[in-house]
Amino acid sequence: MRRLWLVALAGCLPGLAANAGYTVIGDDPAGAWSTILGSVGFQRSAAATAGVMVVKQGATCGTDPQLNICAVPADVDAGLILILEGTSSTASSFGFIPSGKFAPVRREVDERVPSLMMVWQHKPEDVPVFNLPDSTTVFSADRWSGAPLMAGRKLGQGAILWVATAPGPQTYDRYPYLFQALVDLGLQLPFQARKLSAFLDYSYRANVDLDYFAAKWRAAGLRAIHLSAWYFWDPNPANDAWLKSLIDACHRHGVLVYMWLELPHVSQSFWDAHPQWREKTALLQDAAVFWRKLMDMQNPDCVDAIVQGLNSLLARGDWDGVNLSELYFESLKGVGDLSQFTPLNDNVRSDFKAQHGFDPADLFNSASPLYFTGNPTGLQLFLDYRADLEFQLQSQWIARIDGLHTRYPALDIALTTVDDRYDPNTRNLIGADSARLLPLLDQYNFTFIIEDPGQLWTLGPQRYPQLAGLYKPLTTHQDHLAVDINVVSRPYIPYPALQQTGLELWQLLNLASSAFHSVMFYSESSVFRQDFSLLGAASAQVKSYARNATSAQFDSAAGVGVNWSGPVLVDGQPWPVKDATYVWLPPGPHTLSPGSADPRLLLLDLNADLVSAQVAAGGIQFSYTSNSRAIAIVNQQPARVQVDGAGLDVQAQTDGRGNWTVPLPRGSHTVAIQ
Amino acid sequence: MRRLVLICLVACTVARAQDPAYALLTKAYAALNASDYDTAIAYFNQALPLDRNRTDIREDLGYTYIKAGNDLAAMNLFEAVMRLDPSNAQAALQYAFLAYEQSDNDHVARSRNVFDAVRKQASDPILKATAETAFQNVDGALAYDIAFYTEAIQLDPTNYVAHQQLANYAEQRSDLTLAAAEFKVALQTQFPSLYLDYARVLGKLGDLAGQMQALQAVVDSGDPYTGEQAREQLSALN
Repeated sequence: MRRLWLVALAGCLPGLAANAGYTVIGDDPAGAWSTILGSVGFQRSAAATAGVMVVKQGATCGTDPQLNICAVPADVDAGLILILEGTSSTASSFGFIPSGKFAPVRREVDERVPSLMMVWQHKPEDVPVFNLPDSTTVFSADRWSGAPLMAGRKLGQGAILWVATAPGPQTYDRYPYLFQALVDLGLQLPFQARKLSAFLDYSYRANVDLDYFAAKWRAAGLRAIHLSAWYFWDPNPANDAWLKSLIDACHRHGVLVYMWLELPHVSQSFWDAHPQWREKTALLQDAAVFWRKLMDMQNPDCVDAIVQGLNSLLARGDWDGVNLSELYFESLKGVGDLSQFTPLNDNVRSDFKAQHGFDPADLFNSASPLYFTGNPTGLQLFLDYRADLEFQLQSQWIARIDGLHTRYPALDIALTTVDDRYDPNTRNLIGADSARLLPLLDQYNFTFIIEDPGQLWTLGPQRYPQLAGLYKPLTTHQDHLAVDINVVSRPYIPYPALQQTGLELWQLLNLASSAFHSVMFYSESSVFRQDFSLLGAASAQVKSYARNATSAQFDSAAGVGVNWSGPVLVDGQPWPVKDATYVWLPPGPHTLSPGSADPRLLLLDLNADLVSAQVAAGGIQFSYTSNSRAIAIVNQQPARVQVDGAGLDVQAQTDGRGNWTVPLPRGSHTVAIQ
Repeated sequence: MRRLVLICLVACTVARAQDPAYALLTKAYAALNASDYDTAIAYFNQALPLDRNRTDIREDLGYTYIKAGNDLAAMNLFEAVMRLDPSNAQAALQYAFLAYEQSDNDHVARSRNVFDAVRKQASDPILKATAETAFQNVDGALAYDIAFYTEAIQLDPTNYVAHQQLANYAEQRSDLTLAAAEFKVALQTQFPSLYLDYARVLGKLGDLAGQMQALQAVVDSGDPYTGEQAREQLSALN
């Protein structure tokens, strides 16, 4: 019966490229498989209509004790993606049979990236060694015994993926590249979002083909890249040419470019040229902390020079925004490392002394009676002064950037600061005070990006909803809250790998996207190559999904791309917002059904929040909202573009693939393109 | 003239016929011209095993990887070119720049050493000058950092993070004696990963017994991740 139903389903609803439903057969008390499958958008559904079926270890189906089979080859052949866990009658029926031997497994080697060290965190687990059926690809195996851990094969329209054990305790600590394996076997991911932002460090991309990367970034789900501005601080023909090429390529492909500032670090050349303006550490050394060369931003001459440099840089590029990132005092070790503790420049020392009667440098001089280890009161006085100073600094710079709107009206603003709500001690470490900063959202239009600090990473992906819960009560502007995920090596949590990858990365992105209005990550070059193409799927948020033989219903709070091929009707109407792979939906519930023909003019991509769209006379009409410049990509050269009823003198440019890019203004607008 | 053209044509035809990689390379270059880097890389990688001594395929594949943002793969290819053709200063410089980007102590040290070698030995004045500038930048930054952390340690000798940082920069500058001494001090923090660093430097100093002892200490620590790293390194040594 199931087979017939699946065959019937496969034959109906042309267009829907991916069945987003999954079912888990067997005990899954911790919901591990739900967490894993949900992280890339799959929705729990009835067994009879699910496109993905997980058969847990030992699970049985049916009433015949001789069979206990949950799926047969015909089901897979008809399109089912079958995931088999360990030993079961179903797994045996497909040829995954334990040999009777066991291997102590701690280290998993994935054939995709054999050099990547992947370690199962806890003591080695005795894993049954399995014999595999013919024509099976082994995706991962134990390093020392060679015992297969993850393997699969295509079968007709579907595929089988077998894993040797249940997912690990964290759900992502084993088989990190499970989805990559499934995609290799033909799995289509059902949803996509394109709202992520990423930091871009120029030094890692100085020699790449920028057009190739801009297309790749957009396809991966990025709306913006934030470029390391300190490499471009001084006018330089070669660097400025690269900058122009980057911005042009990004805009052509629908990606925005923000200026990423790391004040008090300005640039290496600024540091070299102005030794008199260098910040000082608690040891009164020049403040070269990690890679940042920190300047004294209490010095008016220094600030004037920085403002001049900023204006010059703004004029040399068609920027979409500015990110004031990590505008705080070092370091995250606080007074635990005086060689990195700031600020102890002359201005701070004299100002603090005038207020409190002593030189703060004495707090960090071990020969002084005021030395901080025996003077907690004095230390706290300085830490409070420091936090207040930092608030003043951040407020001034937000106001300063906001003042640029007279010249650059579409310039978006972001402030990235390390979290201090989960760990209030962060205030003493780096002077951060979000509760004081957030009310600035009442006065200025900017995105408050919370940098996910290393101290919280041991809490797993669930920290994001918890983190959001700490910030949301502090502001009514919750659509201006964002989180910044650092995808980097973390030596103290190297499980399953030194850096977040695969299953862990999907859960981080998925939970962060559900908890915050927007998500960014460091960085577009640090994310492993094998992870890049799934970022958009992991960040898509769908509230509900249902399908029948003639239509599919989706509900999303922020809009979503649905994997669909061919013409489509959305809520019964021809729909013009789609490309070859995705139908792009605005927020809310919508019904998709096959259409008869695509409209002549299609809105292939929109870097903005789509509000509504329709096919109109001679073209399309859509409305959107955006806190920055918006970019629309259409499949034909526009003859006319109107914004809010008025003609727009727009410089549409081709993206080199036969499509046309139309820049649109910031704000909420209705656009007609013919 | 006509005979000359005919001779050239015959020579080219013979060369093509003798080049087992010709067909694949033609497809690779066509894809490259169309900026289809993924396809070009696939064809280059198919062509490579057909003649393992060729440096030109490796170089072109390396540059294609750079365009496509895979600097690690490019670095490995240029390193292979250096082995096949030690006089190829261009490839050596390319390797050194890519190695420096890897940021780990080993690669930074190797990068510095290659810049040093090219600035001293290259016959091409432009490559020589490029290597000189790069060497001074790398070495100058390391010298600064070593001085910075030396001073920080003098001011606070119990700053084990500073000892670790000094050890890292010393290793990058190939001052292995200083690196070993500073890693040994930093071991006070008991971080298993520091034992791996210490083992690595001891290995470079030729102290195999010390290296294996340090690695075994990591295995015995019970830490799963560093234990596996140590196990892997012990396996390579045995």
